[in-house]
Amino acid sequence: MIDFHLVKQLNAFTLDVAHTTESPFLILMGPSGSGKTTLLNLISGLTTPDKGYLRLNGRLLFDHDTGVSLPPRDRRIGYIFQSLALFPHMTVLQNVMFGVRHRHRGELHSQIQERVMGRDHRQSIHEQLDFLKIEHLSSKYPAELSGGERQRVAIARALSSEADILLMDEPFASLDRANRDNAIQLLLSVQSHYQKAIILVTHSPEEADAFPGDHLEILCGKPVSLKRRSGFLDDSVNS
Amino acid sequence: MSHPLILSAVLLSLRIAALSTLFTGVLGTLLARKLSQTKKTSFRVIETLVVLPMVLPPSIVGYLLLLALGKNSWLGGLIFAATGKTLLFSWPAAVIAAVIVSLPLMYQSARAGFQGVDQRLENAARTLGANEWHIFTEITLPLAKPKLLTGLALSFARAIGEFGATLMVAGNIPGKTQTIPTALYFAAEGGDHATADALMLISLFIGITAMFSVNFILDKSRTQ
Repeated sequence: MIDFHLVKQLNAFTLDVAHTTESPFLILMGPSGSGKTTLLNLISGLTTPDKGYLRLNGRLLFDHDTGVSLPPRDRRIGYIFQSLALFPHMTVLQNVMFGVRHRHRGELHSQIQERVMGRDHRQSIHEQLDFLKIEHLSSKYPAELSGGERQRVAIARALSSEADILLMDEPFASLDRANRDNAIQLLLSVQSHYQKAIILVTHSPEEADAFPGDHLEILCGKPVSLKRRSGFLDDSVNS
Repeated sequence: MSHPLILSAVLLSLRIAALSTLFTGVLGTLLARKLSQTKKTSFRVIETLVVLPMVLPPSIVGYLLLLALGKNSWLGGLIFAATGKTLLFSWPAAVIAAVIVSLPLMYQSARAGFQGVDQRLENAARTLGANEWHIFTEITLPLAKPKLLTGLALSFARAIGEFGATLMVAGNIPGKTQTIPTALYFAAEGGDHATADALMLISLFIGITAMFSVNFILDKSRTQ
């Protein structure tokens, strides 16, 4: 569940978007430059809003009036940039393990515990690697992977950091048609399997149409239309 | 010049350059990291001061150090009061001189290295739960490694070749503060070509070894 109202003064206009939903998908649509990526940056905490609030699954992540502003690392939000931002000097396994190691660093008090936890986490990591069909790529470096494979690694990495929600910025932009359709199916199955909400940014109505949930169109930083579409994977209907 | 004196000049040069590179490496890296994260004017001023010795003639740098470290100065006075000894004409003064002149090289290499790291990678690490220190050690430093290594190599080369400022603050005391460059200068001046040749060859050997090692490390990290 996500509930927010975020305001940020940008160069060309003021971004001012509010939305509340229980829907598994929130699709942000609009032309480039309309503020969609900025909105993702605000939600993830990489950029600080001027005003407003943000609540995710009941947790208050940001509230200007009371001075609450959790840093990105505490928000439990998986943000997959358009560039994917895989760490080039780490293998696929190391990339995916990064979130695991840092998520639990605060809770561990000894090296021994970390080693034991490491082994347990490697178990659950393998589930993710297997589901996303990248297990066989574990010891490869990002430069050796195809675009589709890299995207799956980025998703695995975000999931293994125990994110409550995934933000995806133009995930289909650099994929050809066949890969794009695969990616769309992948996202639908990831959402259904892991039951995490996904906020997805796209400039293509055709891609947006493939997803159920809330479709919010943004122009010059303001919402201009909202369509709530019922899911075809589950039966939740929003009026 | 006798063999023990040549040996002591070489060992002293290596010791001074090694220590100076250690300090410069750490200081230059931290400065580059700190100064790159903010656009405050005070930081720009600090940056200018750090880099200044690179464009000043070494003798000017030496003179400024004399003023700063001599008995009559603030720092020099403190040290004299505490230890009864002056910092000048000791090998630590040579280390200070070497650090001052090689810091600009390390700083600029480190800054270029850090700026070359894609900020989106650091941002991704933030969303994955890493704190700033871990981002620095696991993402920024490894990716800036080639430029940092180059900076260290340049610093070492600059330190071991330091002549002007070192001569002014540390002097040229055989066995105590005489380094390869000063020993070679005075040997050549005095017509002692045997010593000058020996020191030149040793210098070349050190330089070539250093460059080869750096290239080797860089190539190894590039094939990863």
